[in-house]
Amino acid sequence: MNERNIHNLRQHLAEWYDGGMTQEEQSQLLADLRAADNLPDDLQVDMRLLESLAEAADAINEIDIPDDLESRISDAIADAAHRERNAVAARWKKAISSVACVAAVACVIALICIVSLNPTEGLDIKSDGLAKNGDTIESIQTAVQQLPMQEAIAKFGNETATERDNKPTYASTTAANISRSASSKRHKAAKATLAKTAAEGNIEAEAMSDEQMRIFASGMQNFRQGMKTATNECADNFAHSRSGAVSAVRSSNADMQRVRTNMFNTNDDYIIAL
Amino acid sequence: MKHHRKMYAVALVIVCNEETATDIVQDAYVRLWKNRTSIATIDNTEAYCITVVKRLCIDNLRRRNRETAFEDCLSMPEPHDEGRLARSIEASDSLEYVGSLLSNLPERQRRVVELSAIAGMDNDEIASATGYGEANVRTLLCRGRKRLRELFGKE
Repeated sequence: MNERNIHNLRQHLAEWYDGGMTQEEQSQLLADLRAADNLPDDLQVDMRLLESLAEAADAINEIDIPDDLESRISDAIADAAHRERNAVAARWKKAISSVACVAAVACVIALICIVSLNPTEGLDIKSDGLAKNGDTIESIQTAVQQLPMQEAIAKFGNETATERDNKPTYASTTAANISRSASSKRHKAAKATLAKTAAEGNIEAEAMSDEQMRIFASGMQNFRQGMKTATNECADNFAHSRSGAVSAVRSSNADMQRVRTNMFNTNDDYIIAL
Repeated sequence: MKHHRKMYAVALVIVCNEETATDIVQDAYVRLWKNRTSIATIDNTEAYCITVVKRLCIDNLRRRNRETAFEDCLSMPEPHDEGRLARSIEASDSLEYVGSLLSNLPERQRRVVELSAIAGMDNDEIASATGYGEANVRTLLCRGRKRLRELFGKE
């Protein structure tokens, strides 16, 4: 080994003794010392010191370690893995919940738009039914007005003087009774009163009363027929309205079903995309 | 887990406490496991693992009151502390010999030389771990190494 190399080694050793050098530089210095032949005695002492320190550093691999170190490391890693899985699951849940919320809000908005742009059929039918109910009321009023009260009163104009004055009163009373009440009980009472009044009259009056009764019976029949017709129309209109409402509800249910299907499809797409 | 022994030894030398060293090795393995994908691309995994342990040890020492912890470590060694090199001495003649040399050094010099020679820490790492300035570390290393050389030459 030439003087120059010896000089370089001494410089490096001086740097090491000065507290400098990285671990790599120390390793390189030891390697250079080991590779050198015919080292001076002082440098050989330095080399042995560095070798002893390096061997001591390597020997720490042989020190005792706690018996449970490996198991504790395994447990720590298993715990970390468990936490990581939970964190991933939590992130998935959060993402799916967010998507579901967004889809639900979108569905509500879509429903509102659909309803505002296309009024339901049920509402139309209901309005139609209400209008028809109005017509029915008018027809009832017409039927009542067409009751043969005036006709009966006109016919009483041929009665005798003694009874003629009373006939309009009877007719008005009967008409008032009939128009005041729609119940058959009252109608019967009116008929009974009228019959009683007729029985109390003379023969002509009885004959006229029979005629009157026949006319009133005919009027009552017309009245009943009118009431029946009006009732049937009411029932039809109600059924129509109800059918419209049911149709509207079914239509809404169908819309909701389509929205739910779209929402599930959206969820599936999102999950597939993730 | 082929490096855990050395990782534990390095941690023990740095933090001077078996329980803390065990916790640090656990944390190091958890950190390595979390970075398992990137570790596959590293050539020298042992050096990487030791570096992780050193950083965790430094963080641990920083969290403690650095001066107090270090003074405690020096002046009032825990029962575990007594054996940190004694345990090694039992395991190796080289360590026994170096340990006997180190025991003749003043505490701070011994500590710094130990961290440099046994734990393989550079001066900046020693400064971080001990709380000393780098210049102070260099001075302590200089004196400690020269003292070792004197002792070694007498043998």
